[in-house]
Amino acid sequence: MIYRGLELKEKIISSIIISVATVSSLLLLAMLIFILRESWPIWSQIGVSGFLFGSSWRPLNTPPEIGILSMIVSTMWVAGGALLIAAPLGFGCAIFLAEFAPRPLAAILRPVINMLTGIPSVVYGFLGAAVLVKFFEVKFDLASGESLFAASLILAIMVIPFIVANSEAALRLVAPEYRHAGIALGVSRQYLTLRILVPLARKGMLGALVLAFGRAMGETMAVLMLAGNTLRLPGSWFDKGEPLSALIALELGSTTPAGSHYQALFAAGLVLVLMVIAVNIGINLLLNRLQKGG
Amino acid sequence: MSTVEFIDFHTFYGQKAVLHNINVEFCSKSITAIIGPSGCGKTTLLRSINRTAEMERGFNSHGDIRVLGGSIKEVRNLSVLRRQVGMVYQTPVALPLSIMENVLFGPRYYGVKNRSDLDAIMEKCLRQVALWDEVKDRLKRPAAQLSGGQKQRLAIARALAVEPRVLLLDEPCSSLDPASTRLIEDLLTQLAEGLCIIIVTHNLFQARRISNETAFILDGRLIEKAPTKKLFESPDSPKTRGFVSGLFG
Amino acid sequence: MKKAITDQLLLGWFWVSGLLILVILLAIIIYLIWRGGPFINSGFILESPGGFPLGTEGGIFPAIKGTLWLILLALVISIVPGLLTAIYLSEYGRSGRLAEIINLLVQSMAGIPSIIIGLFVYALGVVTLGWGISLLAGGLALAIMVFPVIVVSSRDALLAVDENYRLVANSLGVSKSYTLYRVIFPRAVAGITAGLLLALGYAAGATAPIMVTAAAVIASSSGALLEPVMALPYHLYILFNEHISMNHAYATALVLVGLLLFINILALSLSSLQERINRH
Repeated sequence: MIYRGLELKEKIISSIIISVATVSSLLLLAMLIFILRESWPIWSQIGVSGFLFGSSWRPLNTPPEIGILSMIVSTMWVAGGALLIAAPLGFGCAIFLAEFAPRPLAAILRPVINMLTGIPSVVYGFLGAAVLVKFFEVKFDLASGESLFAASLILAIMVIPFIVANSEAALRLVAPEYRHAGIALGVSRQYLTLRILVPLARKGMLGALVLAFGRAMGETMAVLMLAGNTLRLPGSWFDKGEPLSALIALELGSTTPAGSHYQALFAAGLVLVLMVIAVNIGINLLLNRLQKGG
Repeated sequence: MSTVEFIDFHTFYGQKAVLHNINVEFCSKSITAIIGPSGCGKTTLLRSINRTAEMERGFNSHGDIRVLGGSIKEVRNLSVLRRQVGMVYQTPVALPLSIMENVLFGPRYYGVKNRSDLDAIMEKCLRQVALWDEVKDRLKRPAAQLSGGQKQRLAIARALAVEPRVLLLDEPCSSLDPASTRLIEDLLTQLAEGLCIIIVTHNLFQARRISNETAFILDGRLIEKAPTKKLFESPDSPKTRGFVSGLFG
Repeated sequence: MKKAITDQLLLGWFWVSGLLILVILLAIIIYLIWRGGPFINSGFILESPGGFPLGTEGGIFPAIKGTLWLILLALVISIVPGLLTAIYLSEYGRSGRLAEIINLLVQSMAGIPSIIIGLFVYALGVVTLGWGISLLAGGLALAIMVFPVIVVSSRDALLAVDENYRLVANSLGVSKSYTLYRVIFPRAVAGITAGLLLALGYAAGATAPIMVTAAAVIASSSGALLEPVMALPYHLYILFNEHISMNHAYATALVLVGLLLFINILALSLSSLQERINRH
């Protein structure tokens, strides 16, 4: 008799847990579907290529001109540029921590890196705008120092901790035998690290880079405060631009629901999410190929 | 009377067969040792009895095992079976609770609430494993503070607290020193007066010292099961002779 | 000879990148203290914004209150689903098919940009359900944002608990929930709390999602669910972006960073406590 009660109780508990876990994880799909639904008129009226490759954004004109090419290009410049700056520093720091840092220094550095991830994006954006942009203005005698480059620079600082943490973990996973073998051969530690350890850890290190790229693409506040926010197609890294995330954050509040401006912002959001997801899927495929290659 | 009975029992992990056509009976009030080389399926056989083997991925079985006359496959509720069949593992595990709560972990779940009942169960079980005198002044201290041998006896007490009819032990002494091993062997001999005890052991001396009967398993097949003295001194199978002869030089 | 120079250059690269990170953090904190420190006093913490334009004088009390309301609400909304999902993954589902799918979904959710979560909650809460720009919408957005953080950190804390405990409990026939409640959860509670704190810090600093769902330039932040609130990160953005007061912007940034570092350090020490427990 007692067993029946205990069994029933456990059955109730486990079904609650399963349903809550399933429902809350399905929220992701719900989000995507909801955003797709809100943006549907854009896709059916303007079409995918018209929306993606149109370079004019005047959603309030009649008829509205809705194309987000400028924002996509800005997003790619900002995120790609950030990676260009962050990768050498992040990898360098990861190698330093995993192989070269004296113990006490590593013990300070790890929590410091952790804390850098705790500083919010708006603070980075604020400091970037108040210090870095000011510096550019004075140094190069510019009317305004905001640019995609400035945004990249600050974004780089924001993503370095992710690159460091994940790459260091990958480096540490390399079996110690390789280290012993290298040392026995008498090569320098730098040579050993670069020629043996890094290639063995490349899967994890590449993964770290892509994770950082995804974050950089979605980052909003720092980018919004630094990129300059002009709707023209940026011609170079040092032009101004308005990445997708900034566009949504700046304009959402001024739309009327179900208007084409509102719908266009949801379409832009969908594009941004799909870009992030595509990068993550792409890297997984790439890594699988690498793994099979040896 | 047989307490545990294997009937045409086979097990697989994925495609790989582990146990082949096991037919064997284990009697109550006796100790049966299971011996055999590493990887022969001894542990799987043991874990099949209380249906913990099936928690491994890809585990599958044919045939049946009867515990106290009932099929383990038809058991309505696993709690019933696991309460009848206690299990002690190789590594001594003290749950991160006090010594007292380790023993009462099972009884509390099965609804014993009354303070004096709980105290009685605790004292009885700790006495059964000869741990009472050692720990009676520190029952509320963390069990993690006990030594390896004490933890293993605590593990036995914890299993006894839900009043099992069968006690399974999977190499219970392999991580213990000779003194603790001796203590546990004595204890098992006493417990066998009321229980069906099945013990998997690597130590042939141990099998000889404590068991009434011994079963020899090789490559997933039961080669021979006989009274311990007979199995070690005049086994029917040459395979058994080959294995146990390691013992005699 | 050439080899030796390359080696020296490489070593230089590793050291410089390592030390640069240290310098950056120190520079950020020292600079914020230098520029913002002088303006922090009890009035700044405990008064509402004043002056004209609003914010040039007075303090940031409603913003502090608003941020606390937001993260509290985010935690209230996300803690139960987050913990139950973690428990499913670590105790019930394990390596089953459904668990694999849920793991994948949670991981993908962690990669979703926070502005997209803001966008979703704007459409669902602010517009469709008619909440308007409100504490409730902001709390929901932040809850969705921290949900994967809570799941992953709690799952990992639970999975780190000695597997033998589960084995022993299982062989006694007791239920998973009983084992969880008596053994596994108490054993993992420090790690789980550390994860919750990290999630709180993450929510407190998030700006983009509340910018479109909850934040107002000025509000009393009384805690009413359907009213807009002020929040520290958004207040910082407004002070700077609308050129209201650089001094107050620096001071606000300092308060925000101080709060977050405090939470972060607390979480860090809890997780090292958990590591010691696990090793024991």
